[in-house]
Amino acid sequence: MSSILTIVKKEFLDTFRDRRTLITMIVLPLVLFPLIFGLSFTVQKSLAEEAQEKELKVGLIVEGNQAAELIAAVEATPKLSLIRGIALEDTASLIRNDSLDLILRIDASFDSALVRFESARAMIYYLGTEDDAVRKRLEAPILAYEQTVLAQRMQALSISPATVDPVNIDTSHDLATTQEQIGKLAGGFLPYIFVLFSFIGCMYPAIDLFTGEKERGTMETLLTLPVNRLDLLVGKMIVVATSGVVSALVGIISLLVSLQFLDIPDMLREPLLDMAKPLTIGLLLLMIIPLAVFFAGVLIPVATYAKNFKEAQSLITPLNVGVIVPAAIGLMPGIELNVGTALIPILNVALASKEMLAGTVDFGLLALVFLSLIALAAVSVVLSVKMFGRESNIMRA
Amino acid sequence: MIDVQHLSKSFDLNKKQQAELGIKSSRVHAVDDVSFTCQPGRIYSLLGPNGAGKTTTLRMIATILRPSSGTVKVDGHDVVTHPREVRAAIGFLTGSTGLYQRLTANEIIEYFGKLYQLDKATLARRKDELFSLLDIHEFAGKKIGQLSTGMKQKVSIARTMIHDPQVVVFDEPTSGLDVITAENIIKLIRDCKTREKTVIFSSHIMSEVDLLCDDLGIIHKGKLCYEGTMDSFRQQFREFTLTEAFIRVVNQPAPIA
Repeated sequence: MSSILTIVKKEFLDTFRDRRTLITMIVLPLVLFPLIFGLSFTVQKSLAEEAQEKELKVGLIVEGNQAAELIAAVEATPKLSLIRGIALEDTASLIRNDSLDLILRIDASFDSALVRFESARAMIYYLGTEDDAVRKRLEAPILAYEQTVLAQRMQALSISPATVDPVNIDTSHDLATTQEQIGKLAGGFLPYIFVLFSFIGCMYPAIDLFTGEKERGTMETLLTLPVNRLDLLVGKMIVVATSGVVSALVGIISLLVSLQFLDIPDMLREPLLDMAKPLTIGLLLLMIIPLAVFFAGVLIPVATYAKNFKEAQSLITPLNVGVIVPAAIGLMPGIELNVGTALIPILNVALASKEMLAGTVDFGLLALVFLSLIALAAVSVVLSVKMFGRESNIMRA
Repeated sequence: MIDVQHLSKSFDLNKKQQAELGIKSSRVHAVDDVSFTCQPGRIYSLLGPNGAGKTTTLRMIATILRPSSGTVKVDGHDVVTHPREVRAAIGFLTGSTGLYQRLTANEIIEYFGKLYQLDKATLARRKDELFSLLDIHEFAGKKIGQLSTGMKQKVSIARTMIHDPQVVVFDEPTSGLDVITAENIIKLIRDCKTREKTVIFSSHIMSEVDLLCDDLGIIHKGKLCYEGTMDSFRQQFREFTLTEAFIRVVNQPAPIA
């Protein structure tokens, strides 16, 4: 027992002096959330503002004095200038080379169609790759004009608004709370990140503590010590798994801090902070512990087998896919936690945290998730013990 | 005292390894029915060309590998049934032994001392003695990564001797070292002898063996093909240089007793 403690202490000391491990274990999860939130919201905001604020140049193609009322309404729109006298054949080039943002083309029979109570055509030329908001700024006055014409027509024909709306579908009664809605959205994304962090957090220590012993030529020495190989393995495994938990924990802290201090829309911040109840966070962490043990148990046999750092990395990289895919499946809507999915590692963590964040978790299923994680962790520990005990692995150089 | 009786070790090879090593069979006998004893206060040298089975033999003595058959007893403890006692009695050092780059000499020696179950006072006393003897004090607080090869070698020696082992196993201890650094090892081996420890070391360099050893075992292709005292070896091959004698022993078909 005291040997395990000695090993744990030494390995932590060693790990915390390794810059590469520290970066992936602490720095990456620490800066990722502020970076993601900071960047995405700032960029999105400024793009949206630009689309709303910039002066739009709209070319106009019209014959004679067609659609005078409509054109007047468009011309009266703020931050929008109409440029007349555009030739039809120039439309594509003018928009593509950014001379114009949009082109409005009035059909030659616009006025006559209006008089005959038919559909009058107004065409908008635009670039679909630009923000939709640009096109909508031109559509708005046209739609408003359409409403006035519609009202006039209905009056002329003596039709009441109710006549043309025989069935009224009212969708204003959403019973899901904001927490549930955001929980379903963010709840899938956040565990995806934590699961990855905890895997990456385990990865370098596993390589360093197992493959590293071989590469540095310290493995032999270690095996001549009067210490059980099981104690050696357990001591090292504690350090590897703890690194994964620390990594995920740093991620959670970083997320909470970012939410608190960064410029994030309130409609997102408040429900997210609301979700971060101590119980939820506590349960999340509790789930990460067996998960990290499982990761350690998968990584250690590989790291024990590998001859050197390079080989270990090339063997472990494909394992990343095995972590990302189930976590990503958890992101998809419609996949729910049930007796089946509760048994699939990683996916079960993603789904359970999604439900926990949304506040809709079934505690029976959550217990099942824990049990299956613990069982899996136990299996992976046994696997590690076997691999670490094999002479051919330890001496493979 | 080390007692090796009918010791054998075979490894299973997979297809890929067979191709890499150019061997047709799926089993190789790295060590084949080897017997010898090493006495306290004497230096036993295991001499052999590369791949002869020296390292495998020493690793079995040091409990790193399990014998396929035969027995090894170290100070009366069997390596298979009582590995803990064997490990506590042995100090093990190889030429390629590394140290933890990010730890200091102090931290490494304390780590090993604790794992050898030394109590605090003994550990502190032994560490101080060894550090004085090897002039480690002045760089004891520096990380290993910043030390020279010679300094690292001294720390490795201190690590090997921290629990004052009665049996010392050296696997090609001077390989890759320059003459000055190798001298530290030569001194250590001699010192172990004067303190009545059992010493076994492997080498493929005849001059080194000539310099140090009392008893000689020559191993080739997993079999012991010569065993005797160094003096009788010199007698028997009077007309040759020692290196020539070594080559003759290795190349002859039947073992000489």
